Amino acid sequence: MLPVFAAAVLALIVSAPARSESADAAASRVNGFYQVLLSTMQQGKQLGLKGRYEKLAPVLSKTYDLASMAKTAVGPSWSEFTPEQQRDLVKAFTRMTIATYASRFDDFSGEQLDVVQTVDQPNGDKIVKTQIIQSNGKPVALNYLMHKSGAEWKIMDVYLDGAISELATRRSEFGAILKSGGPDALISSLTRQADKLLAGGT
Amino acid sequence: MKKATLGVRCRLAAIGLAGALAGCASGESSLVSPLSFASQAAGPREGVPAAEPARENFLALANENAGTTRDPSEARNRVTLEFNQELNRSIVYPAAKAYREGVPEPVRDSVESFANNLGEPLVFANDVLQLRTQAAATTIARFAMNSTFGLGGFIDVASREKLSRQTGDFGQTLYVWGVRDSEYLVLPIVGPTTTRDLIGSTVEFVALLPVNLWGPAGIAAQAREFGVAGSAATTLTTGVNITGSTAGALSKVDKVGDLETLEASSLDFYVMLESVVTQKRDAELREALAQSGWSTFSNARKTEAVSSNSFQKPAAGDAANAGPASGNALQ
Repeated sequence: MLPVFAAAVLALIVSAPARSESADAAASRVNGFYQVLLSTMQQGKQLGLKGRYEKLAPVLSKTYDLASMAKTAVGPSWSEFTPEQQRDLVKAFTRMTIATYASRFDDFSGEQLDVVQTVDQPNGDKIVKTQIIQSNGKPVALNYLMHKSGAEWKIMDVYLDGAISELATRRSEFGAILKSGGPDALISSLTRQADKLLAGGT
Repeated sequence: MKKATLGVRCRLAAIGLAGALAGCASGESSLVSPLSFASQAAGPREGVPAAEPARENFLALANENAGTTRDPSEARNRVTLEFNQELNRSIVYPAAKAYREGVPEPVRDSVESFANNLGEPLVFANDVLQLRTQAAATTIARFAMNSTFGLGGFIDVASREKLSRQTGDFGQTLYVWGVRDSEYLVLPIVGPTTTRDLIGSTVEFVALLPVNLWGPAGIAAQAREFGVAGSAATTLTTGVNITGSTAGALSKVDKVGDLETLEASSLDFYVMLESVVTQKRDAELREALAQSGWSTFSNARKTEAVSSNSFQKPAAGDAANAGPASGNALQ
């Protein structure tokens, strides 16, 4: 009687994480990313800013299609960039993104990062809907637009609260800076921002 | 493209609604007709560099103007934003921090629930004007439930019963009625808004003047007006509002921490704030338009599909179905 009960409870515990649909490659990509993010947050203080940066860099580069995001954020003027400028921009954008994550996710206070569902789009992309349940219980909706890049699913855009597209926001920012200063101004602005974040301390 | 939508919007005006005339006259339209879709699907836009076809579609879909509104007063807006941020940094952020740390969360939630409850009658009125019957019904149920079981509005019991807060302000109503064109505006202290939304909140403010006779409750409701104008148009975490009574101000002040984070992670805070505010507001406006009963009087598609928030390939045929669906995909 008791072993049967124990087995049932064990089965329940083991199957609980599978609530986040692992049959879907895109969703499991986001899930894997969230696992690394959670463990970074939990070891946040010990790792320090540099440690968090190094821990997050590989998974962020793998999960986000940062090159395409940078290119889309720049928009039509991408073709006016020289190849070095394009390379430098992607590098600066990558660095800034990782630095932003490293500085923001520095502490763990009981947050839950859940993958909720995946919605297929007619053009082949997927939207992976997730939730961050903050320590006060209030959820924040984060949706990821995933695009198949080669054999891997990668994030192309992040939607905060379901409505605010990060790419659209970046495009506005990049556009403003490009208009006033050109590609070099944009690259140096991104580099400065990353430096500021990385100098921010622990 | 503009000629086709002009006809549609003039039809809305024929129903006899104030702002629609302004909407007709203006050139800008965020309702895209099927004709423009056909031409868009036909070829690449705007000299986007050649890429593999799937990526090109994505770039074509990504609305070049998502997150931007016309901003002819940019120079003045930037100055006002600087002034607001100075005020925020010196007074509001420290006050918000003290509030967050000094007042326990349940109390802060109660204050917010109370302030929101005061606004429900106006939300209801606007939902009725927009012919959003479901939203109106939900709102009246919320108000009744929260005012009675929620002890005068201090406890938000309705949300636990899956009756979530609806949007409904006069700026949104003007949009649904046809006033599509507006400019981005940063007001001193109140924060980012648009010209249409400023008219909307002023109308509501004036409409509430008689309510002032009810004393503090009335004043709080009025103070929320500029909170509403600010909050509806500002970040997802609502903007900073220091006008008027304590209830109005404090319920927003709680969220100020996120405004700080936004500023810290932006390259150009003015542009980032405008983009975030506009996107959030556009989502609210599109949702209202999609749910509005007025849309059944016109052939216009309920939501425009050309935006970075919609991923469907533009196809004139299923556009009408795609509209609400794309809206739902993001909620």
